Amino acid sequence: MSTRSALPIYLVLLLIVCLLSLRFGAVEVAWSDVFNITSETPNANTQVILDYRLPRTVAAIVIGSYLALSGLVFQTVLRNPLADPTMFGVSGGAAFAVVAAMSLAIYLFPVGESLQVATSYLPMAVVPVIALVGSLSATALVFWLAWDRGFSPLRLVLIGVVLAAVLNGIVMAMVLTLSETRTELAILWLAGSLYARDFSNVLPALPWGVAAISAIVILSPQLSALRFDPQTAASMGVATRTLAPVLLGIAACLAASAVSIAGPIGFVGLIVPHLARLIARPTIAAQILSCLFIGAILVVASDTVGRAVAAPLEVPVGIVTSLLGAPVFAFLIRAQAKRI
Amino acid sequence: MSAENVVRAGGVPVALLISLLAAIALAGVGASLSIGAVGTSFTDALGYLWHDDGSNAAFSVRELRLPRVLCALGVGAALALSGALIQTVTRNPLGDPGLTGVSGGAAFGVALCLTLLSQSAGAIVLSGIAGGFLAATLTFLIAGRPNLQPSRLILAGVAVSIFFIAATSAVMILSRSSMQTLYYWMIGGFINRDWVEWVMFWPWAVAGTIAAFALSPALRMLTFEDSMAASMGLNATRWRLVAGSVSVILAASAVAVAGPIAFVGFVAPHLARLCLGARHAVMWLWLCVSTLFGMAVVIWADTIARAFFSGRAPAGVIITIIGGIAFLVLMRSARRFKG
Amino acid sequence: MKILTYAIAAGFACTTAFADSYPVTINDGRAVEVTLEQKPETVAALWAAAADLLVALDTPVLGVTTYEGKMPVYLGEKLNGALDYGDITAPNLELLSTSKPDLTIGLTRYNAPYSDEIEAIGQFLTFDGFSFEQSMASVSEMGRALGRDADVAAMNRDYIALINDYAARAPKEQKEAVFIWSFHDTLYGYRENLTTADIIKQAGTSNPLGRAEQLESADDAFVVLEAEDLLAIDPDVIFMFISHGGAAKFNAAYERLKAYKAGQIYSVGYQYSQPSGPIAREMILREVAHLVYPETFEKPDMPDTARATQVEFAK
Repeated sequence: MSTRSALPIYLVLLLIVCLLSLRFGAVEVAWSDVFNITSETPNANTQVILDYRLPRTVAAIVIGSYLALSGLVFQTVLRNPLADPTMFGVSGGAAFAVVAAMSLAIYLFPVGESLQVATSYLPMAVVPVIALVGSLSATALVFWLAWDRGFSPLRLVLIGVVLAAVLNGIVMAMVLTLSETRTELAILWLAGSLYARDFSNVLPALPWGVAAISAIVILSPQLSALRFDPQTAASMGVATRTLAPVLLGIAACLAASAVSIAGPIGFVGLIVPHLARLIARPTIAAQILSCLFIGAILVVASDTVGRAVAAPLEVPVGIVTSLLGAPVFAFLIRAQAKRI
Repeated sequence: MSAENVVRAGGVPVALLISLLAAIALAGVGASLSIGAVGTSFTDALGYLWHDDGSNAAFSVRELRLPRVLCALGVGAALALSGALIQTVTRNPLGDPGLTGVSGGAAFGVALCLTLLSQSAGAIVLSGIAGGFLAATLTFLIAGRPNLQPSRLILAGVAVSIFFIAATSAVMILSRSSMQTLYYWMIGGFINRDWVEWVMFWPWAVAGTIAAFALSPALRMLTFEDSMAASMGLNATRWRLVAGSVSVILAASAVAVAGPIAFVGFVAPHLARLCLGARHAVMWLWLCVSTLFGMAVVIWADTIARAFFSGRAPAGVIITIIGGIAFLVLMRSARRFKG
Repeated sequence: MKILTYAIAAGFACTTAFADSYPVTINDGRAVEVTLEQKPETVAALWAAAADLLVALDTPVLGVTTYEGKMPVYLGEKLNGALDYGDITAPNLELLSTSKPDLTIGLTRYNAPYSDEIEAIGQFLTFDGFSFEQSMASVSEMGRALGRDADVAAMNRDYIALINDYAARAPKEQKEAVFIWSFHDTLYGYRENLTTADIIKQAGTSNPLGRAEQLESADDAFVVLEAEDLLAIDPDVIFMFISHGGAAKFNAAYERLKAYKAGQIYSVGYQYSQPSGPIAREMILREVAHLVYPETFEKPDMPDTARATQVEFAK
């Protein structure tokens, strides 16, 4: 499928899932409300759509496209179809930082001894910042641990996976021991949720993301060369040893800003590049475009399902993407293995 | 070089190493048997093992502490052996029940059973094992040939693990259970485990352990190239399957008792390899020392959890933190992980 | 003339009281000062104790949250019209906003992090109820916010009087009672600092887990109990809140406990998990006193769905 013919299809699909996302949720609204959100006479239903569903839909688009593109870069640079930035310390670092901050909220954000018992809470507004710092620190730690007179992509990914496992273990330990009463909020965040996210959560992630996406697009010829083995890439005039870590670093930042919005959301970075390779032409430009759209479509759809399936309860979007993503992933990998 | 020669070769004498590890594990057993809310001295505690005077102290030692000690030893041994088997079968130094998805799958099986089917001990262990097999199968299907690329297996395992943890969370949410219950269970530990757990666990653990040691000659062959193993008359694929199944049974039954305790399956075999040096090539010896390491780590973690954290931090928390750091140190220092 | 003076004085007192009552400034659990310009007509209760107080004041409850999918059933039929906002840790904002509350009352530890979102809907207050004193203070403050300070002060006074009455009537020989929150394998024992344990103590029992003197935070007032700890303290009565629903996990040690032999291990209702409201605290006090000292205290009148039952163990 050529890029030119794919673009309208992606746009239509994205529009459809966005409309579904605006239509379904705990409060029953009519299709006419969805189409009237821009009208000058808002009613209660259009207000719900504007206040809660639209920001979440936008957040889902941003998160999905960031994670998917970041996954594409990881898989291309590492030449490994199983690589995923969120398995790579990005999620683990964010989770560690957020849970540590929740546990230490009593020291970081004391609100005094109102009504006799010292109380404190972690305002959700500061969570994205803390998550970003955590995931970038973890990424830096992975690079530092993997440094051995240069970077080997394989060593990077192994260290990343192991560090993620260690951080996740420590996070669980903290959730259990440091603060019984804040556990539930930590668990909600750790599952990857868009609950109560609004534009103020999304905006800070935009400059980062746009910069990282631009950098990846600018570097796409080099990224394209990195698909081949290092000798071939070198013969094409690409300095693998410096470029590979730079691209991985940019992709990790992109994933980190996505994780900072909603917490760790699994499988998007893993499966979307596969779907993109399956559907799009084998050029990097076509794959980048496909990843951005398919990622957005997947996360918007998952959040809609999570909100609508058990209302007024919510299944966090990260759980839905994992449940939807894993079987698709298994199927794709098998299909690919057979083709090779 | 015959096995006996290797055993006698330099480094720490094997007999000393084994007796030292056994002594550490036994000291843990002694401490664990004599510490508790119902006060007992060390000698009293040992006395109650043989003589039941009907007191609460005797009951605590015989009915509460003893099964818990046995569970801790069994889980340590099962996880260590399972890790050693996975590392051998996949020829992957990162083999671990957690990193190959087996623990996650077993946890899912147990959670599904607890919330939807039945709370009976037998059903729990069976569904744990079924979940472990499902996860292992998925991991190997996704990874393709297991000895192809170590990172492929681990990435596939982590993906399977994430999937099963998400599925477990979804089961908990939709059945209106508290996620905290799940977390407490997911970190692993031995709080309030008694004879019920031991009875459902020991047949699997003992059978798995015997099978693992019985397999050690074949395992030795599996460390060679498949073509070489074939020239020695060994169907490598079949033995891989057998050894893999044993490792799944060991890990999954351990998870059904104690929850998915992390890193023991990775750290114990590596510590054994470090202490044994070249002699780790003697398969039964390596398995034996790994088992002892696993037992010692888990029994002491549980003893420390009970003595110093009064149950607030389950054994799994202590193992995760210490094991995780050991994991990273080993990764940083080991040259064989270079790509 | 004299009568007229009284009437004028009374009328004056009345108007001043009315004029004084709003605006009301509340310093809530977030240490935020919230000024209510007028009496809130529609109130959403994210915290069960707020719903409890609204019912006690015979005021309609706009909506409540659930814990593990359970509604505060002990409040009975008066909750029938109330909306279900979903889980207490993540109340559904769409439902909350379309129900148009003038005032939303939440629990600090769960709902305060989402202050910005909830304040966009209407006025927002949060409280906590870890200790009994904190619960009483929270109830008074909520009463002030609702413009019913006098009624709520009277409720608190009546409750204190009730405690004193129970203390006077309870047998001099105190029985030991423990409250346990059960999470499958893990049993959390409550020390006296926590509201539920404090109310159980007010029913003339003693708590073998005692009081935590140096309390850094409310988390320190839990004790993780192993079967052996139960053997060591061996209380006369055990009240167990089984948080995951279904049956409690059996342990052989129970058979050696006085409470088990006497058939006095009870599975208790929702109100024990959120005991701060005026209805919950009185219901707990009366039920506990009756179950521990049946000769002295009569069986209380309460909804059957909220009543304690003998615990069923899964064997």
